[in-house]
Amino acid sequence: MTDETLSQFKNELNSFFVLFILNVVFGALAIAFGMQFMIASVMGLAEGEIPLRVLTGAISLAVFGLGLSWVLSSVKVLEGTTEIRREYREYTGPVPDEILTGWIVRLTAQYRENRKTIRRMTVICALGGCAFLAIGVLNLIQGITWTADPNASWTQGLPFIAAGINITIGLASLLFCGYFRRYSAAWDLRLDETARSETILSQTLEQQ
Amino acid sequence: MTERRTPYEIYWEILVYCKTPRAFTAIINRCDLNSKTGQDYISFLCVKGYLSRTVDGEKSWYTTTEKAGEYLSLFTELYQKLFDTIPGFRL
Repeated sequence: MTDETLSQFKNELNSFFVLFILNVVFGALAIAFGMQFMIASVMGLAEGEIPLRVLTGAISLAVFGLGLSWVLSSVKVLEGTTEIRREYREYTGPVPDEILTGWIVRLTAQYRENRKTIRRMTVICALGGCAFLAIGVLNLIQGITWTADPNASWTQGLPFIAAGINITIGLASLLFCGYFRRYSAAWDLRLDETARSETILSQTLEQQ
Repeated sequence: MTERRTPYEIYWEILVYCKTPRAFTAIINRCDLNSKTGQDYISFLCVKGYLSRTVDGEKSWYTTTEKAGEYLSLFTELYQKLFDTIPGFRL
């Protein structure tokens, strides 16, 4: 039983780790692009199209805040799991039942502790994804507006590049949101199962 | 470990750690408990006969008894099942 359990445990821990690393990377990108677009929108206010720039600036500010919250939440959740992952990677030879169970207990406790944060991250991912998609659409509108200007220079293509970046990050965020839902669903089932296990363990303790 | 654990998980941790004789302070440090809760858990396990106490001068040593074997194996089985039977998360 241990080999199968260990293999499943390793796969899941690795998937979780990759998800959170990608999440931190995309969160950092959200901060960077949020700040960049916010500054660009404010700097360009004098050039006209004020309503569009104010709207882009406001959404960028929201993206910046969401990105910051996104990175901080990811790092908090990642902390405990990194330690467990390091321990199992450093472990050489067959893993005894006791050690594996200890890791499972710690992961379970980690999920209990971070359950609310992970749910919040699911919401942040969805909101961040929608905000990035919205900025991407606004960039497309800007690009199309500028293309129509006969005096426009080579810079008329820049909003299309920005739109590409924003839409990619937006879609990635929505994908992460889906992964977080799947992760939470698997762990919520496990927590339900531990609640049932508690009844069995309690009966065992009472019998003796 | 400062995360939220259930009492059953803490009992398991104490019992596994005490497979070799341990002092009270070592147990509470290892299992991240304060003196009050540590004392409660250890007393409970002693009353159940899962831990035995040996006094050596001024120090007490706690050791897991054979009686705890059933609880330990049941706990291991139940927790490993969490990864065996429930479809896991994969990217």
